[in-house]
Amino acid sequence: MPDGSFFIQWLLLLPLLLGINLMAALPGRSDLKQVWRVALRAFMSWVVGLIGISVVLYFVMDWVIAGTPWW
Amino acid sequence: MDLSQLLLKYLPFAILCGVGYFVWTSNRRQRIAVLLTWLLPGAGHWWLGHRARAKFVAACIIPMFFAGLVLAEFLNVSPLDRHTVWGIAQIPGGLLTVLTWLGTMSLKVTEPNDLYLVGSLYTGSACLLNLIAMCDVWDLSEHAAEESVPSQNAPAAPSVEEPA
Repeated sequence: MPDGSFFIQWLLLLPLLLGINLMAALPGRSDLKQVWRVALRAFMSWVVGLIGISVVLYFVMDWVIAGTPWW
Repeated sequence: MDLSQLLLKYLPFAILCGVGYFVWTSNRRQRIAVLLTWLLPGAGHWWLGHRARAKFVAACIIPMFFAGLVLAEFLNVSPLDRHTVWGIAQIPGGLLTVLTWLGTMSLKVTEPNDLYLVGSLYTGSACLLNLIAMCDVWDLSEHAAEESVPSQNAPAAPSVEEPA
């Protein structure tokens, strides 16, 4: 399993991702409630996407490392 | 030549071209608003009268900047000696970057910090997000200028003659 620092760094990236999504949703929208809505939707999509990709990559790499080398 | 050397060599020229283009194509209101936003995130919006938007921008960018500083133990804003590429990313931070740089110049790295790069990422991202705030304030001040000055191509209002 990945160690604690991996999870700490992963968790630390979440507020950053939220801030980036909030600012990215700002231009062109006059209503701040709409900005929040769009940003939170984008944030959730990013988090789910990143978790999915990370889990798939983890198991793929685990499988690659566990197998006999190809060379 | 690696990426950081390439950036250091050509980025000042690119920044000068960008600033020149900005001054050439903008009006006075836009220049002041963008300059204020560069100095302090949200200040340009506040100056234009978008108070809620100003608070939103400041609440997004300034805590992110300081969170990065705390994570990196106040050592990550140092454009000339440590991590020059991060220094380039911190240019849009304006006054925040300059004041932090002056305030933390005397600090020395004494022990390795595992979260230094995460802190640098936070601070650099906050400064780069200020670019979005600058674009937004440019856009808002352009629309405000368009609304206050009637277009020359707009048809003139029909004159209504008073009946005798």
